[in-house]
Amino acid sequence: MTTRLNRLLVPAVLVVAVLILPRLVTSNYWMNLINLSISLAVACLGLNIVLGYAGQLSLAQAAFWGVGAYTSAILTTQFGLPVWAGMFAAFFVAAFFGILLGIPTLKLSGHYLAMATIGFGIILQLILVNAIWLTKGSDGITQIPSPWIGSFELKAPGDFYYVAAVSLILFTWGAIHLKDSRVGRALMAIRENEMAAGTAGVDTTYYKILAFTLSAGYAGFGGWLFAHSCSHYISPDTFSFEQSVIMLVMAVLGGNGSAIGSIVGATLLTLLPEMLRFLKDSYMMFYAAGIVAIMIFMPSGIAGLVKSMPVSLRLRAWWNAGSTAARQVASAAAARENSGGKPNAFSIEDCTGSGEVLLSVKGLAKHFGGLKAVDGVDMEVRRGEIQALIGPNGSGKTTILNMLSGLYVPTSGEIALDGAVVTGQKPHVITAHGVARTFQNIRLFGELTVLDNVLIGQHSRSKAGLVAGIFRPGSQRTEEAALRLKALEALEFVGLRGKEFAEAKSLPYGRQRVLELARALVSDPKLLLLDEPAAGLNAAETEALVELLFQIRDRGITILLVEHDMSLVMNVSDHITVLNFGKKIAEGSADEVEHNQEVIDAYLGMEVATEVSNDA
Amino acid sequence: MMLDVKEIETWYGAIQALKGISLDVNQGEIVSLLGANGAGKSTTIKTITGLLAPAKGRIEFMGQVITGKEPEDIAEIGIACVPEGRRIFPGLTVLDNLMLGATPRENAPQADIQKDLGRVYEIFPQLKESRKRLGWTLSGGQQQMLAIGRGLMSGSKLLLLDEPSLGLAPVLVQEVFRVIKEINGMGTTILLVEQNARMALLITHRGFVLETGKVMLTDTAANLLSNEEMKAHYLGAHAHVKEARQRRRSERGRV
Repeated sequence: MTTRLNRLLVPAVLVVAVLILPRLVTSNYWMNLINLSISLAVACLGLNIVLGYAGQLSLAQAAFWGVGAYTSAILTTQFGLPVWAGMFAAFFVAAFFGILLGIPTLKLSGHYLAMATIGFGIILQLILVNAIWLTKGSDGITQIPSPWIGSFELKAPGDFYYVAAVSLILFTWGAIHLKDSRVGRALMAIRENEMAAGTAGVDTTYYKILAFTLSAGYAGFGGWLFAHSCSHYISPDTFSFEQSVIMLVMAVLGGNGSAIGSIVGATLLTLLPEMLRFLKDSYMMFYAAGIVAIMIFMPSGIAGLVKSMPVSLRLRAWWNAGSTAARQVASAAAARENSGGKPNAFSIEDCTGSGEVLLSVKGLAKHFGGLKAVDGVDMEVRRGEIQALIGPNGSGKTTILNMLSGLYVPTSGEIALDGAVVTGQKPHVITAHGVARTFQNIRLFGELTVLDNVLIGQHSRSKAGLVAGIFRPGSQRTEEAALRLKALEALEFVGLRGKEFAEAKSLPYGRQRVLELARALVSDPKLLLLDEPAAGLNAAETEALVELLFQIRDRGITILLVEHDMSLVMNVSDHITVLNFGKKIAEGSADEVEHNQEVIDAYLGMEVATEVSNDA
Repeated sequence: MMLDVKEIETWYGAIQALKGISLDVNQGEIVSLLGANGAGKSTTIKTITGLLAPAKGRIEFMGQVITGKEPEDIAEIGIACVPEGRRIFPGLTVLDNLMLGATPRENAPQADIQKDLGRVYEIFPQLKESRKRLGWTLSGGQQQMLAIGRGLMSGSKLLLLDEPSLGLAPVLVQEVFRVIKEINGMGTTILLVEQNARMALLITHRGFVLETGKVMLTDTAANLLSNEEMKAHYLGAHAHVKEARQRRRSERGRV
């Protein structure tokens, strides 16, 4: 409890600092600069959501900043609306433009996405210049009013500052809450591995548009702060591509993915040139050199450097000890203890119906141009069984798993799961239907913690949206606690308890494989697809995996696995399907398949066949 | 002694991956490097090829100290490496991939290189058939063949193979091991890193077993195959095959 009270010290000190700042800075010029950096900081917080959280490079942030500024300026100067109404309009109109940018750019990534956002930003700026009837063109809009509180006009920079500071605190609070919520984790999952995010149940299309929308909304609000402070004048050339680049530098230099970093970056890059003015003509050169130096010596930005300092590590440990995440994990662990470690979260107690068909595949085909990777395969997987799909390299096994999990749309054929036809559905829809998978070349959310990976796995089994994630009502907190309880159980099940806060990519190879398995299990699958789960494991690790597979099966989860390790396949499988050149060449029990001459010729070879028969 | 590795210690930042590894390979041998994930097998390979610099220790190849040399210089001296995961050039043709393997021998006569190309095609007839195809269009097994073929094109006296059987169908695994033996028969010395310890020991002369960055055990392949500790930890397949199979059968009635 004392820790929780102590934690209140941090915000208390901040509030006092924020309150007395205008008393310390007496010059209007500097106060205006502080307001400007707050306006930019809010826009950078938004950029941090789309770039830092969701990993989508946007170079149109200044354009959204401009949309917000212009929206409020036009509404207040031409239509006489109050400034406070302009504030809401600035946020929502900019957010709407964010949707407009989000939709066409969904198919793009990397350089192409960046180029499309540049184009979008330039178009918006051109509209500001040319729609003279609305924007007054390149003359800009003058005499933009200040907000009023009752009969008091917040005209002096030191007064408007309080509006800006409160906004910044609220928007920062929102961005930080967002990061540790279901929606924030979904965004980071997209950044880390879009394909795995989809199969973990995240609707990647929706969340990418959401990230662009929210990011643009933040920028719009920043634009409102800009329009109604400083010079009360705006013109199109402020909202240029160059300004977008500066915002990008601010966000990256502050520390990509860190909300506080964005603020530090925005403040530093706004105030630094002013501080360097004593260098006269060459000050811009020193400013640029400073940026280059920071990027070289602090590759993860200022926030990254601060985080790695011993003193801040100790501070973090102290802060985290009382944090919601740690408390939730601790209470989830206590709840686990009380239940006596009994499995409850992802076991299906009711195993009735075993033996009936769970997955039915008819005439499934996938052609890549002239290559018939899968060419008319029929197969069935029965509930409660472990089925293996084997065949030479390139025979279409992974292609089938990709169609079953929605990553590929079949050329023809039908896939039915538990009676529902799911052919050609998106990955997250199929996950919601009860299919989970792992990948041949492990696809974890590497930069996220082990716990986050398993929380994201539950995406399709949880609900909290953007608003709930930021404001955290009781229902959201109950859900988060339940997610953590289930996550801990899954981690205990695969033997990763105690590693909750380790970075996923820091785990050794074999541990990464079981983490991926845990992430799949928490989505409550009816059918678990495993793509070469034993690849790269040695004999002892494979043995442990066999044990785990039996335990998963005993919990009522049906397994379909692709694997080359015959010591595993022949011994866990109730049923085996053999593929060659995209066609099914045999199926049956292990005994039937291993003595099938065609299978021996195409796949098993002699050595294994004799070894296995010696054994039997 | 062709390759002599003495007490090397290699670090990844603050983590010590190799804690004083010593091993040796004689001319004409196949030596296998075994061990669990994270034991330091690939790190040892990367240290020998110069991709990682050891903090301590010494590596000699044919009497010449190669510690601290650049990877390209070590390749030129005569150590070729077939990396884990194949790492072929996907956008280049099979032939281009193979010819790039001959890069370290800029001064060799064209005829020698053509002779070696002929030898690679002889070992892997499939590569000859598909010499004009792009790397990425090959199946996993063909890519592994190409990676080994590329290693052979360097004309090196010592070939390091990192997990050549990874992700391959059993029939291809057998094929890869057969080829390794054949290459060795033609005079190339081989240091083989393998997860599949039993298969590896069947074709190698001697083995080194690594555990957490140290050599725990070294012996002839025949002795390692019959070593009780090895059977329990690395060759477990047989015992566990029987047990699991029985379990599956007994439980089949239940379900």
